[in-house]
Amino acid sequence: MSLLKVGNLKAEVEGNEILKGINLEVKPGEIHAIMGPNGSGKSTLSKVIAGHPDYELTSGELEFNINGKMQDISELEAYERARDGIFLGFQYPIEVPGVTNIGFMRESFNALCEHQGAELMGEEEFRDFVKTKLPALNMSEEFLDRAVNEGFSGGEKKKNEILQMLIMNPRLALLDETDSGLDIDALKTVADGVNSMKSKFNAFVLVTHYQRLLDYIQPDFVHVLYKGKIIKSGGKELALELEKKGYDWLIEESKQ
Amino acid sequence: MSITEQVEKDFSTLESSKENLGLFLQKGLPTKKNELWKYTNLERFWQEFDLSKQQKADLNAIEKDENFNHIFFVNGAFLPAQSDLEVQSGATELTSLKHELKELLANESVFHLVESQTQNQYLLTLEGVQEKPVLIHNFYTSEHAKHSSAHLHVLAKANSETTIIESHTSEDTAESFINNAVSFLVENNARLSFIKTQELGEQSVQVQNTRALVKRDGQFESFTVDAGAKLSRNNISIRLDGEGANCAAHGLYVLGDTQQSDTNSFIHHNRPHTESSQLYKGIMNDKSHGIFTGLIRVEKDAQLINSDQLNKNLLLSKGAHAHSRPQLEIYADDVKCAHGSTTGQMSDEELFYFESRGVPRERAQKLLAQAFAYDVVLKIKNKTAREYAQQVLKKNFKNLKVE
Repeated sequence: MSLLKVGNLKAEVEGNEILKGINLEVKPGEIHAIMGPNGSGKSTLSKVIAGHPDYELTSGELEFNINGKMQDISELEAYERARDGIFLGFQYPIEVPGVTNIGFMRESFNALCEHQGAELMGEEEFRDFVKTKLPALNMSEEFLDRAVNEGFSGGEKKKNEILQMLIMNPRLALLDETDSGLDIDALKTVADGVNSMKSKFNAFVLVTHYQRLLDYIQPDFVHVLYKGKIIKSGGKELALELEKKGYDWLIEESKQ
Repeated sequence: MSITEQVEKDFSTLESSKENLGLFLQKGLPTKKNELWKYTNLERFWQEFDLSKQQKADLNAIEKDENFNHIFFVNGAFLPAQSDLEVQSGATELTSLKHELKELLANESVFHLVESQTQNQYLLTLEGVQEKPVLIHNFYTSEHAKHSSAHLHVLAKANSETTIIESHTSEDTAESFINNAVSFLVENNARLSFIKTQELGEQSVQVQNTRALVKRDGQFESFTVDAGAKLSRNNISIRLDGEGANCAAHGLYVLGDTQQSDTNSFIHHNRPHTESSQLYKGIMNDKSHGIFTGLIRVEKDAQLINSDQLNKNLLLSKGAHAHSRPQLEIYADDVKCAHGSTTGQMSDEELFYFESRGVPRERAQKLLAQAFAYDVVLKIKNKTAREYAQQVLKKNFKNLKVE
């Protein structure tokens, strides 16, 4: 049974085709890494799956497992995909002045509760729940009462994304360059967060530029994206090979 | 018949102040030729001024929140039986207060129109520290006079400390043209905070003239929330008239449909060591229009003053627009003044951030608009009053239809 199925997917933004026929299947319990040089379409792929309104799907399939059945999600709004269990960790988390971090998270969490027909969580109960997630991420409670990401350092913003992921507990987490701009301690913390959530029921797609993150999170599959297409897929050894040899040999190979 | 002829005819049968009536008739209603009324054509909103139809209405069910001291007005007339505090009319203090403030808004013909009516002139005197905020209810009915006018004078005695909320509400169907005034004399070392909340029905118009003269070490804070009415105009004139005096003038306008809100503030630093601060924010949806004009004047002898002014507008639809005109007139050479203005739309990236977390776009827009307004409300120091203003906003955000 798959969780996500992307078939010959093409997508464009403002008339420019960015994804030129992507095939990807993700099953529960798997971790996939999407690698590739700058501008290859890695971030676009995660945004397209999450439903960013700027990208238009021109052809292909985009299916997600909802209630045990693969369903076409290409027409669903981003918020509907989120409610069905897709989470996007942002490369550049957005600052939202005037909205407290905990208020933002409770809004999201209760949106899920509402969708699942569960009882909404009150302020105090939710705070207690969030507090249990903080120590593993080395975050202090003070972060909860600050405006969303406002004045956060790069590392704090990324940890805040992971905190939101742990709270939403998605079935599919797309982490868009969550490792960029992190020092080694923050990188470990982020990886610990992912590893603590990993189960046979959920899956991760890690978009990353460097193999460094994969030292801490073991991927089952590594895909190399170049000019809007996956030009090579393999196991975690592919990432190590890329680390040593760069992308050029693969690009050459794909041209033949 | 022109509007001035009509007013002259109506007033000839009534007791009125000839001097002020003369001043109004001389100028008539402001037109777009007047720079300060460039965007608001008041004539278009005019309602017949038939004083003979002015009748006193009464309030039926009154619920009094005991966290406030209440004062009630209906169509501009005081209701003594229902009110907790006394307001006087015809007191000698009222005459001398008028005299002290006579230069403020002296060029506004609409203000002279308020003054030309001798009825509905009131004085509220405040002494000592008032623990409970004063909540002034102004209610306007649809059956009675369309044109309503009243002038409340507030004398904040030396060392007194008070928070006043002035709420304006009407029957939904009321087609009121409300032209009212509130004048404050803030004596030495007195503190006065004034919060106006306007939630009138959509067929109503309000022109509010707010004047304040602040003496040595006095503190005056004006805060306006405009959410209702098809047109709301705020004329605000504050003079800092003693060393150490300071004032704040903040406001929020939350508009939809074809609503228009026009604020014209004038802060006059007349003495050295005075401070003023202004933050006006507008949230405009549909085809609404928000206007802010703010002038800060610093006199030659008013050295070492500190003044800032900021107007920020958030446009929620393509048809909405904002005009912002911050102005400075500085004759002193050792002053600190800052002013600025921004107008923008909600960022798509912020909205997508919410959506990616399961929050629908419409809900996200509301939350972001609320967040935009939030820091203005936080400027209200008194907790009870702040919560009151928050409730008013919350209610009106519910009505704010976002695209």
